[in-house]
Amino acid sequence: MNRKTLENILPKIAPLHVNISITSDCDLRCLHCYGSYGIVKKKLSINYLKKLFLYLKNQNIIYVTISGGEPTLHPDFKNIINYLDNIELPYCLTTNGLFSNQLVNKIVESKMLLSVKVSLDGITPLSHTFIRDPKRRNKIIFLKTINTIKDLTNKNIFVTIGTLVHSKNYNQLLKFPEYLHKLGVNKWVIGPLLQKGRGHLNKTDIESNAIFKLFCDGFSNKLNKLCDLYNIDLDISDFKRIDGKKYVFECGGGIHYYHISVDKIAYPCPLIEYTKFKPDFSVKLTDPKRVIFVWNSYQFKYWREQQIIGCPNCKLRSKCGRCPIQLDILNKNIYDDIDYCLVK
Amino acid sequence: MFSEVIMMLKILYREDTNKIYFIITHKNIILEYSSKHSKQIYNQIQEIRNKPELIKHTSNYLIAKQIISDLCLIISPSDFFSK
Repeated sequence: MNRKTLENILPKIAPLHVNISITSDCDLRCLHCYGSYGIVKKKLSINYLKKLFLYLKNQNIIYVTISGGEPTLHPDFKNIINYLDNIELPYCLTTNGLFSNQLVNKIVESKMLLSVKVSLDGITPLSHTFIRDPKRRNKIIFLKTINTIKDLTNKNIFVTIGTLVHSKNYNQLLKFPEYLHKLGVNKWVIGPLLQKGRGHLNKTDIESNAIFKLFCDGFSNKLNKLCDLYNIDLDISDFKRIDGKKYVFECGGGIHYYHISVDKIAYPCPLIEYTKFKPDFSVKLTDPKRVIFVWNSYQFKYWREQQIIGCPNCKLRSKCGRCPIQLDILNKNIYDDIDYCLVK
Repeated sequence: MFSEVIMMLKILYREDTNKIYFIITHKNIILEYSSKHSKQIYNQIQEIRNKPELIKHTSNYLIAKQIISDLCLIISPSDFFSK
């Protein structure tokens, strides 16, 4: 997408949607978790969230994504979705699917729910729990996740599955589309390990060179054809950077959405807080009213300048993906020999 | 036991993008409409939604009726008129 096209589609006053991490609490200790969630239990208070949601709604935000940690562990989770229903602000929910049948019922009945994204990393208990429950490998975790997915799809809720490709599931990927089709899943997002937090500590257990070879060898086309056959919308954009065609991919971070962390800080992209660029592209939101000014803060304008124009003096800017975050999370820099590269 | 699932259609106009957004919950569908007269057409759609018996002969009314008719291929007319 060129600069002119991007500027034309850019919302001028507020983003189209906002991603909010409501708690850092989590009942799993996934090996790949870039946020190292579950250890420190922080949360955004219900009063703070109510004000935030109302300001966002008044800015005509199309929807919010509620994430964590595991958002359903927020002590006021039911009140949060009640409030979103009351003010008619649509939302997507990102979850590990490990919650009670009673809560499934509550979520399904919520009129403003757009979709639910559930993490599923394998089609067998072993491949799923390999990274989700590494110490116990408890198959109940796999079975409960599957039951939650079935409960949601049986009630015609749009379900997206998020899968991390790791050393114990990459050879099962071609079996996923049929399996997900049987579960009634609508969309499948797959991605590689992000080398941050526990993902960085455990990368030797999770990653395998075979994964990278697989995606360099026309494998994406095979997956796409299978997903077409089973009527599943496949999102494989995170792998574009390793298939040899393009190093980084264009995403909507800071262009049509932004992220609010559990520490009350807004970032153009959810990954920034785990990179060295955190101080450059963050806006404090101690007062939820400030959410109105975030989109046009100098930090966000600087971010968009980088994304749209790139570094003004760089001769390679037409070739650069202009996203330092993606290069940082992979611990790679294709422009290592350029002194003034932002990524260095 | 699950009670009956209620999906909802939310219609939104954004001045900064000059677009109308049709958000269908539970189905994860967000449709966009854009033209020079987006705002007027949005107002017309809302007027028809509030007063289904309304009949006009303006171009914006006809466009709004066509959009509603297209929407009713995805959701039922009762879902469109319920709020």
